[in-house]
Amino acid sequence: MTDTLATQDDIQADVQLPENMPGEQLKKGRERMQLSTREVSEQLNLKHSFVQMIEDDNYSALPGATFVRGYLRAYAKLVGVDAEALVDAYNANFNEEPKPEERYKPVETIKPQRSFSDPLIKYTTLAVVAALIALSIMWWQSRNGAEPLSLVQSDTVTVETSEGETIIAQMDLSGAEESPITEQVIAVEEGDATEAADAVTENTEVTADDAATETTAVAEEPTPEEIGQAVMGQERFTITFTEECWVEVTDGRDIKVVANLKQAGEESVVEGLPPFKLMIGNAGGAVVTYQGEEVDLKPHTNRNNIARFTLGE
Amino acid sequence: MFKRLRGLFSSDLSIDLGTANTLIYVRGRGVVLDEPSVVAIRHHGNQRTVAAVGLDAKRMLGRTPGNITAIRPMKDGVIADFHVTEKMLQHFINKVHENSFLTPSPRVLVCVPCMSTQVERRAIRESAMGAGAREVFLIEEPMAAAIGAGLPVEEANGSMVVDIGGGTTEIAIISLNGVVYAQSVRVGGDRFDEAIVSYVRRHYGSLIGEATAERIKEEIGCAYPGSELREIDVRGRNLAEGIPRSFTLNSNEILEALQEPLSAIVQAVKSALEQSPPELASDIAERGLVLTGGGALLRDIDKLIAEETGLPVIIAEEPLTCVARGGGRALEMIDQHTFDLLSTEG
Repeated sequence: MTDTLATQDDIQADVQLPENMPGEQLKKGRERMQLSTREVSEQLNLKHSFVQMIEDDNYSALPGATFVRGYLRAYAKLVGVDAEALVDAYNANFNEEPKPEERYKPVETIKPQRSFSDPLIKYTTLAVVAALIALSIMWWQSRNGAEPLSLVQSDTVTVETSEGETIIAQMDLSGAEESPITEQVIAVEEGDATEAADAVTENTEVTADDAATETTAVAEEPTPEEIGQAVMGQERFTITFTEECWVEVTDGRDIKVVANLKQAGEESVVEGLPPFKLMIGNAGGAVVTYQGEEVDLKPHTNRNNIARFTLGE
Repeated sequence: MFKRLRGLFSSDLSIDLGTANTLIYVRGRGVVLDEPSVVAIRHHGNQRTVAAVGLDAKRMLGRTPGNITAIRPMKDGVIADFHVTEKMLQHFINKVHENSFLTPSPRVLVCVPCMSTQVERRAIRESAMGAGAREVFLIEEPMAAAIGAGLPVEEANGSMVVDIGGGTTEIAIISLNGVVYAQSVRVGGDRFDEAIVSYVRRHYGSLIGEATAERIKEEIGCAYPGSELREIDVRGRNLAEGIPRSFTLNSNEILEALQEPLSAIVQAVKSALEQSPPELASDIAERGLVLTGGGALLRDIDKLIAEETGLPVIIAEEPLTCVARGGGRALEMIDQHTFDLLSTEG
C-alpha cells in the first residue's frame, strides 16, 4: 500500500508545486506544532490512514469531496493554517467538481417547464399582445374618425341658415384649405336671385370684418351661371319639399353639398359631381327631380321613413 | 386550469420554510431569497393587514407600537399561524418572480421537519397551495440538508446529518436515498437565544431582547471551552432600577448559558447513534457526521460534538443554505426517478 501511495505521490509532485499542496502545508503546520500523525488522528477522531492520505495529497481513497473539505478545515484549524486557502488549493488541484451544486445535472426531460418562462417567449407574448391592443385602438379610431367632421359641418350650416335664406354648405374644412376655390361647391337655395346675392355680400362683409376665417367661397359671386362655368362636369337636380324634411347630399368627391332641415314648400337645387348620395328623413315629404324625371323614393325608403340612395351612377 | 397557464410563467421553487429564516431556491438560478420568517401585522379594528414581511418586519420585532404586531408564524419548525404563513409565502413567491406580469403559480417543494405530524404537514401543504403554488411536494429536512451538503445519499453507505435550525434540530441517518433513522428535537437557535436572555436576567438582573441575544450568540457564542476569550458590550434594562444599563459579557459566560440546549443536542446525536444499525454506524464512525443549518455556525460546535461522540465532525459548506439547495436539487430529480426522496404523506 505504501508503495502505491508513494508512486502516486511522485506523479503528483512532478505536476504540482509541493508548497501549494494542502497536504504539504498541513504537514508543515503539524511539524511546527510538534504533533505526530497519530496525535492528529486522535484529536480529529479520524482514521490514522486518512491523516496520512491527506498529508500525501492522495484523496482518491477518501470518502468524497464534501468530507475531504471538512477534514481539511478541521485539520487546518488544529494546526493553525488558513483553512479557506487550503480548501481553495484543494478545489483547484484535485476537485473536478468545484462546487457541490454541480454534482447533479439538471434533468433534460423537464426542460419545457423552464423554456416557457424564458424571457424570449415572455417578451414575444408581450409584443403580440401589445400589437393586438394597438391594432384595435387604430381600428376604433378609424371607425369613429368621420363623426366629428360631420358635426362641424352641420354647425356651420345652422349658423348660415340663421343669417338668411342662402345656405352655404361649407365642406370638410381640411378639404377646403387644400383644394382650389373652384372646387368648392355652393348650393344656392332657389328663390329670389338678388336676395341670394344680397345675403352673400352681407356674409362677405361679415367675414371681412372678422378677417380671421377665410370663407373664400363666399367671395365669389355665386350666380348659377358662373358656377356652371367654373366647374365642369357638374350636374344639378332639385328637391321639392311638401313637408318638413332633413336632407343630406354627398357628391362624387365625398363633399357634403347639403345637410339641412327643410321646411314644407321649399325647393332645393343641388349642384355637384355625380354620383350623389342622398339621405332624406321623412322621405314621404320630398320629391326628387333628377334630369327632368321624378325619382321614386319608395324602393329606397326604410321602415323609419328614411330614404338612402344614390343618384347618377 | 388558470393555474396551469400562470405556471408557464413561473419557475420551480424549493422553499426552506424555517422557524428563523425562509430561503427560496429557484431552479436554474440558485438561492435567491433569504429573509427572516417574520411578518408585521397592522390592526384596524377587526381588520388585519400585512405591514411588512421579512427583513423589514424583523427590524420591527420588539419595537412595534400598539397597532402593529411583528410575529413569527413558524414555531418549532411547523406552522403556528396558518394565515400569516400563507401571506408570507405569497409575498416571498411573488418577490422571487418580480419581473413576471402574471401572478406566479410555480411548482413548489417545501421542506418539513422529519418528525412533524400529518396535520402539520398538511398545514404546510395547504398554506403553500393558498400562496398560489400549482403543485406542492414535501421533502424531509434532513434529506434535503444531506443532498445540499453534497453527501452521497444515493450510495449504500450511511451518512449522518445534523441540521441545527432555528426551531428544531434534525438528526438523520441516510442511506440509499432513504431515511434509516431520524430524530427531531425542538432545540435550535431560538433556544440558544432564550437561554442567553434568561442567563443575563439571572446573573446581571437585566432584561435584553431576543434580537440582542441573537447578536451576542453570533458574535461571542461558543460551544466548547478553550478557545480565545471574547467580550461584548450589551445594553439592557436593569430590572431593579428600571433604567437601561450597559454591561460586558464574555464567551465563557455564554458557553455556560448555552450548556442546557447544547447538551440536549448532544444527547439527541448520541441516541441517534445508539439506534443506528451497526453497519451504518461503522460507516459514520469512519467518515464522520455532517453539521448543517445556522446552528453549525456556532463557534466550536463541531469540536463539542466530536469530543462527545468520538466521531469526526464536518461542517458543511454554506450551512445556512444547505436545505434550500438540497431541496432545489431534489426538485431537479423529481421528474427523473427518485420519487422516494419525497415524503408521500400529508
